[in-house]
Amino acid sequence: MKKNASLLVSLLLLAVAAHAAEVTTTNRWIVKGTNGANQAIPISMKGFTGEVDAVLRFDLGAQGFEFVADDAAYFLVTGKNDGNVEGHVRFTATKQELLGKAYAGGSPRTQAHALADDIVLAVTGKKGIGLTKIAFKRETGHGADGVMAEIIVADFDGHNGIAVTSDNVNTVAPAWVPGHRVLYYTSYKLGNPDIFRQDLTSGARSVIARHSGLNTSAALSPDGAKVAMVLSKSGAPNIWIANADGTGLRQLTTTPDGDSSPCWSPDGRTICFSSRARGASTLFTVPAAGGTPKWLQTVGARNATEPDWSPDGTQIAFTRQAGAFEICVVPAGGGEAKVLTAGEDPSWAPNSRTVIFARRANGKRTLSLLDVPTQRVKDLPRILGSSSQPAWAK
Amino acid sequence: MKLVQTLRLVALVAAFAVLSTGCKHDPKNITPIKNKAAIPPKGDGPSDLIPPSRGIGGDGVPTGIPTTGIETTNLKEFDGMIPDPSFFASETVYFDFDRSLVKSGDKKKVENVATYLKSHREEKVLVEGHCDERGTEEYNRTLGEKRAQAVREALAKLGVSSDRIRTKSFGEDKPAVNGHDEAAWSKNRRGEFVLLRPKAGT
Repeated sequence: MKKNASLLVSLLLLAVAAHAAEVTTTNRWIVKGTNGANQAIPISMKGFTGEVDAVLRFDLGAQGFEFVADDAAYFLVTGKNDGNVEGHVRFTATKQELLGKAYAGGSPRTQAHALADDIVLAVTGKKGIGLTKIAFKRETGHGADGVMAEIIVADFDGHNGIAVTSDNVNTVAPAWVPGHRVLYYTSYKLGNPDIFRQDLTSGARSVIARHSGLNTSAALSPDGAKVAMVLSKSGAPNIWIANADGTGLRQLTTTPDGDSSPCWSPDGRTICFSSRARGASTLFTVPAAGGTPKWLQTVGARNATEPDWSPDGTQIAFTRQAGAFEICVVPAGGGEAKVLTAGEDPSWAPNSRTVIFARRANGKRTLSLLDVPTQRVKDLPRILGSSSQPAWAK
Repeated sequence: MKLVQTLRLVALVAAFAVLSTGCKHDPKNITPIKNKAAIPPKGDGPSDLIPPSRGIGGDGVPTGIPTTGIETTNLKEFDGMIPDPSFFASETVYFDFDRSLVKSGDKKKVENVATYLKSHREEKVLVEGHCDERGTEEYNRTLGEKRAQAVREALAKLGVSSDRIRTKSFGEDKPAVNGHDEAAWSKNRRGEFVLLRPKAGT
């Protein structure tokens, strides 16, 4: 048995080596091309129809797969969706079946997302994002106090959206409590930008920060126990930390010219944020327990704002703000930054490879997905209206 | 690490090898999908529509949203005052791109506001800070606050007690002028004064 399996692995690697210049075996099917950029995984698919077909193509396309003709595909996906969804994955070179599954219950969309996740797992060894959720700000109109927006929670592909606020004021900057159906966001409902906490299961909510001046940009620690945020109660907008309920407040930074957009390292020890400490906006890190902020260099991408730390801890995505906005990534320790695509406010998916972000055109904001290794972009449906500030549930 | 991954890979492939034997087109492996109802109620209706929220705002949440034991620094002193946004409309000050310095050309406007406030001690002022659309949203929310604070400091230097001045940043979300050029942007990078009158009977 083990011998057979080893033989199969060798065959798989051989087949990939024949297609590409370099193969990394640690990430099973992340194939490195000759130009050093990660290439998409060639796949062919047949047998599915309508919505199920569309969901599969969207999900796989957003996670580094590329649909090609059978003879160019490394993997063949077949299946059907007359009634329940059923799918198979075969490795082209050996015809060996890697996956054979059928699904019961739920909606056709959910079954399709589940199959997409199983395909991603079978081929890459990593968990897919087909069943994950996002939250974002969606404009609903303009009132006497400017933009009115509500917080929407939807499937990661923008479908099944539900407004979780209906305050008819500006509601912005949603942030998830990791592992929980709980959101923090900034609301102008009480006449001031204040930070609210809302349990999406019960609908119960409370105000966790309503100090004089600005209260915004909540970011929850990986264990959900602490909240980092931007407050201006003692002067310039700086980074503060409190317990999840807003008690136990302490000031983490004191930059006279202001700080913005805190995020947490996945081990909960470090906060990364954007600061004006060096003049133009740059990224800094500071121990969550307190300490001296350290400049995090983003060589090749000045004016760095809106950092978001990848769940695997290796990279930080951010927005370069220089006339236009661009999504960039930099190693978590700082260094050479890569400018990936036009857009702003990146938020990592749990898979540490897909990023959701916002774009602006004609006064409207739209959401898109970026597969970081292949730099491919997929747009979320335009039915979402003017939407921005996405946050991926982790 | 690499060894673990290799072992995992072998195990995975082995599992599929077993799985696939004799069941290529008849998967016994049926995965039940549970509707987790993570965000209730989900519904399978037209997925393109965003339904209104439930259990929030209109139905269920009392007007006074509980605050969880936090101090609400002096915001209460401004609650219930009656805002008059038009009173100081001609005193709006404007900022350079990405800056929060009150320009010398605008000092006279700040003086006008200070003079009024010093002779009307029962009244207060809200300073609104605004930005053009060329920053990211949360960055602009901090920039708008810095602008409002710069105006507050200018008022304080002229003798207006800073506890009579409240700041509020709208970031780029309340533009004075719609448009995507410098003509619009220069009018949107601004600080506005909203006179706060005491509520009737006080």
